[in-house]
Amino acid sequence: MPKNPRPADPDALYSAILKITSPLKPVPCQTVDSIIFIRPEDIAYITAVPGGLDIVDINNAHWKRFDTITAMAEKFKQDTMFFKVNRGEIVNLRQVKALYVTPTGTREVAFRSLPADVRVSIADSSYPEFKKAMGISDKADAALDKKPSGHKKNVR
Amino acid sequence: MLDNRLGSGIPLALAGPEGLIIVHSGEIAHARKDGSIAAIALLDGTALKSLDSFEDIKKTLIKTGSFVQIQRSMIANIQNIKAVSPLTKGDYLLTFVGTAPSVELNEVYTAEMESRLGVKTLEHVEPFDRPTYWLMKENIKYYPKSIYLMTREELLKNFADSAGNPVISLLIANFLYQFAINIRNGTAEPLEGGNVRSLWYMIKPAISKLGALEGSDHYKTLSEVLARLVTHKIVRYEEYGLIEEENWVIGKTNPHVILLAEKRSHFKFIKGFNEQYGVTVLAAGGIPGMITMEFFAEAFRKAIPQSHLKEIPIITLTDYDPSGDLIVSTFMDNLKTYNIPKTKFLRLVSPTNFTPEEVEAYKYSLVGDNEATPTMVRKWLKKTGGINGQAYGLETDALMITPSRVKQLFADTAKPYLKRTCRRT
Repeated sequence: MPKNPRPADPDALYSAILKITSPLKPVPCQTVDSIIFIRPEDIAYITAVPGGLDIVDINNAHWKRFDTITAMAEKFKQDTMFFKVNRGEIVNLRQVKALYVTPTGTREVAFRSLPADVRVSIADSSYPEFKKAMGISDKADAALDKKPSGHKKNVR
Repeated sequence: MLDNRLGSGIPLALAGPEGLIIVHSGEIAHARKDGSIAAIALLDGTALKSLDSFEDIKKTLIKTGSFVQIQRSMIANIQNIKAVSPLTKGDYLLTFVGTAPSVELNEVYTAEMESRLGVKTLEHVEPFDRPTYWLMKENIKYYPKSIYLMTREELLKNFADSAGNPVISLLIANFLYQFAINIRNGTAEPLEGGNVRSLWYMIKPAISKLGALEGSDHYKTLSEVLARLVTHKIVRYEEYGLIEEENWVIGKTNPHVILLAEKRSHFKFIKGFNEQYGVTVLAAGGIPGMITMEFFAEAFRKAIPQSHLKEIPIITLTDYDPSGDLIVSTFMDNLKTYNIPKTKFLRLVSPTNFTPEEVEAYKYSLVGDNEATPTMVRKWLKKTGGINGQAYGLETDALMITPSRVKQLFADTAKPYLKRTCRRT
C-alpha cells in the first residue's frame, strides 16, 4: 500500500462507483395486483414483447412495463451501464458474463446469473460501442471471431 | 441514493439481550412507536426495540434521507420497499426486500411516497396499458412456439391448473392471442373469408391431444373467449380475416340515426327505411354478436362526422319486454366499447302506441316467461311501468300487423333527428 495515496479524482471515483451501483431509482413494474420495484443493478436485460417490455432480472424473472424500448432507453440514459444492443433489447453491462459468436456470425452475450442458453444478440451497428464499453481489445475481438461457439441465436 | 446502495447510511444502537446491538440504517425495513420507545423491523425478519424514544429514532432515521412517514407513528425505509399493492379506501400494502413483515401505508402519506418513489401513482405503473394489463390478469401471454403444434406435455405445462388439469379456456385464449400477434408480425396469414368455426378447427386437435373434446362445448368457449378478447380491445375479428353475415346497412344521408330491429326476419322491412330516409338499419337477431358489433361500429364511425357522435338516436323495433330491453342495452354498451358512447333509446313498440283495446288484446304475461328471470322482470317493471303497472309485455309483431303504422311511428320519432329526407312515399 503506498504511503502517501494521491487524492482520488472525483469523476473517476464516481465512474467507478457507477460500475457497481446505479444512480437510478428502482424501476416500477406491473404485476397482477401490485407495483414491484426492481433495483437497476438486479436487471440483466430488458426486451420488447407484444404490449410493452419485459424486464428480466438476475433470477430470470420477467417483469412487465408498458413502455417502448426507445422510451426505456431514454429513462436509463443516466446510467451508462445500460446499453441498447439492438432494436428491441437493452443489456445491463454489469451482468454480462460472456460474449459469443454464433456460426452465422451473430455476437451474443450471456449473463452472470442466468442460464447459459439465455442470450441476447448484439446488432453489428452497436458492437463497436459495446466493445469499447466492455474493454474488449482488437486482439481479443479477433480471437473471438475465430471461435464460433455453435449456439443458436437468441434462445431463451 | 448512492449512500444507501453503498451501505453508507448510519449505525443505530438498539437493545439486545446482553447489551447493545448495532444495526445499519440500510438494514431496517420500518420502525413504529411502541409505548415510549420504537419497535424496529429488520430486513431479515428480526424485531428489535430501541432504548431511545420513537421520536428520537424517527428524527435520526429521517435525516438519512431514506425514511418516509407511512402512518401517524410509523416510518419505512423507502430503499427497501419491494412492492406496493392497493388496498381499499386509498391505503396500500408495503412489502419489503427480505422477510420483514408487510405494513400499511396510510392514504394521508401517499403523495409523499409517490414523490419519493418517483411515480405518478401507486395504483399502477405509468405508462399504463389497460388491455395488456388485462392479458396479465388473465394469464395470457405470447408463446414463441405455435400452440397448436405443442405436444401434450407442453400443453399441460402451460395450460393446466395447480392440480394438473388442463384449463381449456386458457389454452383457447392464448391460442387466439398468439394467432393474432403472428398475423400482425407476418408469421401467420389471416383466414381470408373464414368464420369463427375456422379458428375452432385450428385449435381442436390440441384440445383433442389433452383428451378434453368430450363433455363441454369448447366451440362455444372459443366464441365467448374471442368476444372477450375483442371487448378488451386485444384483438379484432377483422384481423383474423373472418367474414360477417351483414344484416345491417349504414345510411347515406342520415347515418347517425339507427333503426334497430330485434328480429332478423325484419331486415328486408327496415331496409326500406334506409332507402327512404338514409338512416342506418340493423336487424340484430337477438343480442348482436361481437363480430357484428365490430364490423358495424367500424363502418358506422367511418360514416359519421365526429360532431354527430354527440347523440345517436337508436329507434328500436324490439319487443316491449325485459329481453327486448336487454338487446338494446347490450347494443348500446357494445357501441360504447367502440367509442360511440352517447346514444338515446327511442322505442316504437310501447303501450302508448296502441289503443287500450289493442293493448288488452296483444299483451302477454311476463310471469313464468322463459326468457326473463323474475329479477329481470322486476327491474324492467320498475323502469318502464309495464302495462298499467302490471308485468305484461308486447311483442314486436303486434305492431308489425300494421306496417303502415310502423312507418308513421318511425317518421314521427326520427323527424327531430333527420338532417333531410330523401324522398317521401
